[in-house]
Amino acid sequence: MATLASYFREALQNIEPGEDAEHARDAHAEVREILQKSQDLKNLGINPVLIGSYKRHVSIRRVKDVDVFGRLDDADDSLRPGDALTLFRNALLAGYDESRVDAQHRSFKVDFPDYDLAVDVVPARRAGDNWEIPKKTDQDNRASWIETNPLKLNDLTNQMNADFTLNDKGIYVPTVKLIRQVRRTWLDDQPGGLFFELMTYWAFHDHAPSGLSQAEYLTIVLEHIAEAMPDIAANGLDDPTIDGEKIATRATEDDFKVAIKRFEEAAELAREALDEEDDCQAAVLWQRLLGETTEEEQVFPTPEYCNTDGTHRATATTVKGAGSPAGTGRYA
Amino acid sequence: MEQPGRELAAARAALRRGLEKLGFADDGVILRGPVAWAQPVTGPATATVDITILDLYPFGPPRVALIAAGTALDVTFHIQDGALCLWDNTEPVADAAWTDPDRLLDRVAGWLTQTALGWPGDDDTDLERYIEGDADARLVLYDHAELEGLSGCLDTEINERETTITVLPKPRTLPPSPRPKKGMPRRAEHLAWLADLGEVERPLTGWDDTEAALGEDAKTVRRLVVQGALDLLLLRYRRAGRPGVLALSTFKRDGKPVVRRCEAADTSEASRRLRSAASSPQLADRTVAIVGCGAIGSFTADLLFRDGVSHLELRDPQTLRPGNVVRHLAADASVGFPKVLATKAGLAATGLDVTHVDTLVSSVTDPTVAINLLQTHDIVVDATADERATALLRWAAEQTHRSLVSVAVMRDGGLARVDRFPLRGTEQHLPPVPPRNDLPDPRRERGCGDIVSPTPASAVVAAAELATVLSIDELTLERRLPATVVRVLRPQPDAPYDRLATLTSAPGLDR
Repeated sequence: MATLASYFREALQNIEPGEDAEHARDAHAEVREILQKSQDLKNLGINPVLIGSYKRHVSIRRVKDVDVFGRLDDADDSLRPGDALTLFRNALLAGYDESRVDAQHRSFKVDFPDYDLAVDVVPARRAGDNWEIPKKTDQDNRASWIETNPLKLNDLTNQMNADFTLNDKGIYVPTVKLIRQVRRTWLDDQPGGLFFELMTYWAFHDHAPSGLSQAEYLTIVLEHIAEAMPDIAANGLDDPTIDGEKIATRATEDDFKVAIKRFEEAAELAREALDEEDDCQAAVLWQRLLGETTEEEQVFPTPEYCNTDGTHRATATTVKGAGSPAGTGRYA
Repeated sequence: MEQPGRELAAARAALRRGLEKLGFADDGVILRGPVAWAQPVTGPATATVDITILDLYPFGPPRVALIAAGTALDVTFHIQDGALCLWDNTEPVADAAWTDPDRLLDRVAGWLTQTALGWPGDDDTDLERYIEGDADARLVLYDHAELEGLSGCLDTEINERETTITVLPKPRTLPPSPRPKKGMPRRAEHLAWLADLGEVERPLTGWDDTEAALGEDAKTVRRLVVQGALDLLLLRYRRAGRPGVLALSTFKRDGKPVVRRCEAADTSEASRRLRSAASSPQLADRTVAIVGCGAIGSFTADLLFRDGVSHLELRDPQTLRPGNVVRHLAADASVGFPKVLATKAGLAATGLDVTHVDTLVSSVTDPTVAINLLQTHDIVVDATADERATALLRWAAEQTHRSLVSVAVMRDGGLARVDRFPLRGTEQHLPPVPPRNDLPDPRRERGCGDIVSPTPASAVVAAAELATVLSIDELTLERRLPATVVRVLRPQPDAPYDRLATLTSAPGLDR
């Protein structure tokens, strides 16, 4: 078994958001400030908060979208979804040129071209323990409120990462990141990153995987996802934040067919890599699984003692005969 | 046994008898007599000299003073306090020509002829010997490189103990003339005058000669001396093209300037390095890292630095303790400082430039650091005696094929051993030194758990010297020394360490 733990650490570093994290922080702070300048939104108790993969620390480079949940703490049932969207639109246009603000079905995308990053701003009002966000339909362009609870996903993520640890460090979050990277390598677009994050969540939730290395966790979770995917494709993926709800996806039936096949292959590849006894051969397999970063560099590094073709370039140093030939009892 | 003075008395008597036979009159103290010599232009002449047999005789020559040259002769060089300088201190005493009256007088005759010729080709820059000395003079210091291109009035600085006066490269405006009624302001005193006399044809013997040699500056210098503003003259000159510097203290006596010779010394790096090894210039740009600045490391740093290696990196994580000082380069004043800084302070105490001595308060525990250390230095000296550090550095040396010298003392200072890595060709290190079980238990310092070896400082210095020699052999690329050198400093019970010896490994083939 070649777990190559230190190289998995390096692989995880290679997919860290890097300077995107700083940009995301700055962009979020700016959008938050602009929303809070709107008197109309202030009257409704505007209280923006970061949500999404970036907030949950499961984003991988590059981070192209940051989600801001525009909580209106004081809004009541009288606030209509279309009005909420209008108020947010006005507030954003007071701070940004129209060309940078793009209206979506349920949110506004604010473009930050200098950072090559967009901030998705979603209006939200409280609905009991959950929240409601507006959703425009394609048919009549009328908006309605739909229930959601992205904040709860933050909590679930933290809890899962606390429940599953490797040497006292959370193993759930890094596994999500690697699963997201596998998705990015093996699929074109759909299902998206959140969908696979939640499949990972259910894999941990339902099967309580246990391992001694990141390689083991990745392999086991990949296998569970591959196994569960045909059923999910047919019946939908449960939303862990709201009982009885399914996760919406833009993935088509064909998308799922491809995803089922590809993830089956990915899971087999991971198992093959994990079972491989030779480090250098295993590294090549892990490289195939995890692909390249957005900068087209291998996510999984080639160990210093390996050639890129999986052959060895050095054997382990032996300490036999090392040290001083003088003998013991030296003093300096 | 005969009294030791009898032979010496007999030797003195023999010279007296010999000179008397050559026509010298002896009054019991001075022997006065003729010396035939050849004046190059006018022909044969007969001089008269006084010869005094000094206490040092026969280990040194008698004093010879010229009374009359027998013809016109301009006495210039090679004379001191009225005595002819016939031999210098390098003359072998075993074949002392001065004990043979004929050879003594031949030497005098030769001196007279050379004087008549003006000592052609003589490049002795010893002008100070012709001027009366100042018993109270401070040592005059100057930096030849810093004074380059300067002349005229300069500032000086007297050290705290008033043993030295340094001529500073700081030009000063001339103090006013005449002297103010309230006396010279403090800042206008203790000045120096720097001048260039060019090629000198004759020595300066007093103020008059000096005034004549100063040319246009003479008037100003006289005024400053009489005013009490000028303490020093620093005169650059050349003899047969060779540069020299004459330092003279100045003061006023009976309204007239007086000069006295002072001992002077150049403080420049080049001058300080003159006494370094012949390989010093070759070592100047070599870089050496010393890992471990304890006893051996500090002295190795010192020896390498004095031998000419000015680019040093010193590494050690420890602090200097009072108990370290007895066999460490550093002084007690450095206790409490990191050993690397204490060692650097020791190097700085030489007065040499320590700009390129870097210090790191750390050990080497990281293979990357070890590799980098080997790659960025011409040689690394392992003076840790730490098995792990040595193993790591040895590995790095063998990986990079760059030189490592590992040094230690063993058996409480009975042996000093140095091993060089990596091995070349078929070289082998000497076998390990077997431990001795009969030595006293190691000591421990109160309040400190570390074992203290009773190794004497002399063994530490011997080991440092071995490490230095092997290092320089590598740095100069001579590479004639073996991979292991063991020096037996105290005979041990077991062979081959049972006699004072230097044991070496066999040279390898295809080195």
